[in-house]
Amino acid sequence: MSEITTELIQLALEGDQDASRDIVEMLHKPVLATIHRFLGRRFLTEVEDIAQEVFLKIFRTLDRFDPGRGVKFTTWVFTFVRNHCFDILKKKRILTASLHGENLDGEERNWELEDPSERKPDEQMLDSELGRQIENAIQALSEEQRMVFVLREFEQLDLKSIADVMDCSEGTVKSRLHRAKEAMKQKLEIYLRT
Amino acid sequence: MNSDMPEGSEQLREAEFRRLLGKHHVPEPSADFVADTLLCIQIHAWQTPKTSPDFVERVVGALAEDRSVMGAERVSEKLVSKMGLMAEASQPREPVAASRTEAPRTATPRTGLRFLLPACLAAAAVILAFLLPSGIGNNGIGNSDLGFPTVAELQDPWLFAEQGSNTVGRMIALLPPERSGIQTDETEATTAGIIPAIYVPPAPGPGIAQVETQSELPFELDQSLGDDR
Repeated sequence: MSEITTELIQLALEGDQDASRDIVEMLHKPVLATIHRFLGRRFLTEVEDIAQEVFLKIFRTLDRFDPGRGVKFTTWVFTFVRNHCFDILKKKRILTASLHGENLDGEERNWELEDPSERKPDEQMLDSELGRQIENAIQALSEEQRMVFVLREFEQLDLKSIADVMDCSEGTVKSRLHRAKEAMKQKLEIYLRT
Repeated sequence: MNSDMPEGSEQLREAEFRRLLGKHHVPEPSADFVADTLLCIQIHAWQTPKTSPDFVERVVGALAEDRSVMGAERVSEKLVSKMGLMAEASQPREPVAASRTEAPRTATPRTGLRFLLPACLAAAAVILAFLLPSGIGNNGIGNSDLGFPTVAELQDPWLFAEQGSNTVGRMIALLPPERSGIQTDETEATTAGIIPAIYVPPAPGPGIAQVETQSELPFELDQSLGDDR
């Protein structure tokens, strides 16, 4: 993901449509992917609407972005993504994994994976099924662990940026990331051996 | 969990894990997502024009002004209501518009007293009327021309000794029989200064003769009953 310059942001602030388009073009894929991975299948039909709401919030408050604080624009954008996703889950009162899920401390949930022996030999089907198992394992994580994991493993944000997004220390990010990865490996153990 | 694993196998496991995560794909955004989003941003930007820099100050100033006006209105309303209370002590009460700050008054203590005093006076007048044999007027106590006892007569020490402090008893004792309204033989005896107004049933026999005093009456009656039996 290429970095968005301060000049581009200033142009967008001044009402330059091309600058606004460039910003949305550069950011929309990682924003959509993060929302999709964080919220899961059950929000599949709403992901683009949610992403639009995030972009609206970003552009409404674009004048508040201060590059002098040492925070990257992408980090600032992911803060909106994180807050909006957390709000959605809070408002809709959806249990993000299962009724037997973990508590807020991030302890592991009782997640039952499908039996891989029932998989069909078709490679595409296998990938699709594996993708669903990965998503199930991601959704089994706590909200905090999930966001940290998605930002790190899929969006390749550095630890400091994730700490800025999550409004916590880097140590907390490391701890959450480690626990999330261990839980994920445990859930996907059967696929790691093959 | 994997702390006892060799470093090489741990790296292999990590690499395998990353390869596995790479299998997780998200759907591609729709082709018109960017255009739609930009349109949405433009619409909202048009609907929400930027506020002027002094907007907050103007709102705060207006609020402060409104608060001061409201405070002055409340003070004037209180003054008006107090003046109304003072005026109603001397004038009949008129309906006043309900104050915004005060609940409508019902009966204040002063209003209650104002109505209580005439009621007490009326009650006293009624009681006095009952006390006087001929009702309220000039023909009551002290009008000796009409045959009523005078105050001096009522205060006669002898009468006091006989009737005690019972004003009614003393007055009836001094009244002539035609004024007291009791026309029996027994009352004629009382006008001689002994028993005024005690009703004695007609004697069934010769048992009852003369009743001397009020204190002797029960004893005499008992005796008469005893005699009767």
